[in-house]
Amino acid sequence: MTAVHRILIMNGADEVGVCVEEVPAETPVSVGDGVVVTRQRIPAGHKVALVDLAAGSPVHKYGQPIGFATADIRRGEHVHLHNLDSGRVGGNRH
Amino acid sequence: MGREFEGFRRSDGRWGVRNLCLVLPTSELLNRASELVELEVPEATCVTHFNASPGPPSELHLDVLANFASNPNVGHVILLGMGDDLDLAPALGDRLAAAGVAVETLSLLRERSMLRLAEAAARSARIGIDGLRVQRRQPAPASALIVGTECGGSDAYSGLTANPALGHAMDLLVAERGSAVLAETTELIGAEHLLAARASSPEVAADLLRVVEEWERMVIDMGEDIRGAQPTPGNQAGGLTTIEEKSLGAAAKGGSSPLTEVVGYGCRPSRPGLVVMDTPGQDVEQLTGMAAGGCQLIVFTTGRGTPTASPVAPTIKVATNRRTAERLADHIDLDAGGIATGETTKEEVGTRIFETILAVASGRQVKAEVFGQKDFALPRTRPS
Repeated sequence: MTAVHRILIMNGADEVGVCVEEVPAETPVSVGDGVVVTRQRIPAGHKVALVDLAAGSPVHKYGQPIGFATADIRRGEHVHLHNLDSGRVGGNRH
Repeated sequence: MGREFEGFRRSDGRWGVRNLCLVLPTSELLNRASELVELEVPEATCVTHFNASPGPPSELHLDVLANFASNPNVGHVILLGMGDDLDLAPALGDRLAAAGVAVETLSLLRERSMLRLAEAAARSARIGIDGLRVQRRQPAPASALIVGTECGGSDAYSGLTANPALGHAMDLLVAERGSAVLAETTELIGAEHLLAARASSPEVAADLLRVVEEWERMVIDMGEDIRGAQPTPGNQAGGLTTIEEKSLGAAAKGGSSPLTEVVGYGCRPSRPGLVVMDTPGQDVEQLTGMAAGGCQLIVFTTGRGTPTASPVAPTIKVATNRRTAERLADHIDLDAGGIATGETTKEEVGTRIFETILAVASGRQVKAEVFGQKDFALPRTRPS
């Protein structure tokens, strides 16, 4: 499998990367020396999990906390409103 | 030897990058008169109010209108007032005249019709513009520039491309002893710890944490209404999930300089460097606040292609992605999309933004000026 899709990782400690263009499901994307295989279609500009994350664990981007996993997230999953919520105001759920 | 631009020197020592004849109604009730002046005298900068009047005329509105009309890009002001007891125009005219601004005050009650008010204002505008024509640009130091930063219609690329590139441009400006203004306090929620850690004193750090906390408390007090509104549905469609994620991307446009000051809405920075202005996130209210704060230019990054621009501060548009830059080529001045694809870097695009700022400061028109985009709004909300 050759990874052709580009992904941006803002900080080495981040658990998520940003897909530069839309990536279809079950597609390998290169991450550093390794490869993550997408579990769903990831729209352009959206996030993909680089590691497995347990529900309740903090999620980082730019090396900073951007919220908490609201469900178990597996490596390669789309990370968005359905499984990530703000730790501050303006969260998506109560 | 620092960088220079060609500007207009004002009596108070500030420098303008334009020499505008501003036609400013003090109430949205007079918008139509301002529109009629624009038809008669297209070279005049005729403002209309975007918001309905935010309550009875207040000291805040007087301050904002006075600071906006005395932006250093303005060389001559024509105020349109109602002429009744609540009219802010006479007090505003007095304040501007005392500050050395060339100002005329006209009123609807005195002219007795909107059409005659517009005719009188058009006559004054022609005379004002003739007077401005004789003034010439002179070399000015880049340190005289106060540049506002704004992001509107953000997407997930904003924090990866255009905002970090703008941050680099603001670092270059601060290195010249100029001022960079970061605003939109709601969009600092989740990034305030990084800015506070860079504050030039514990007092400045405390000021920043206080204004962010005030907005956060207001958001909490508003309860469910605000939930799901930040990030906006448009931001969410673009891939932004939480306010922290949006803020971390938004704060990148301020660059990496120490935070030197926190100022109130529409207030002028008192020292060079990176300054936070406490403003609402609404784009037009924010633009107005930054222009009132003396910003001669604004750099506005956009993912979705927001065409909004200030009437008095030339607004440079930077697209976060190539698709928007190509689709909205009439409105976008620079494309930062190549940073995401690895074709260019934030330093390269940031340097291009900085050079564009100097060129626009010396007279090059931005797309929004060519199109005649002129958005203005008094603020509806203000904590503290």
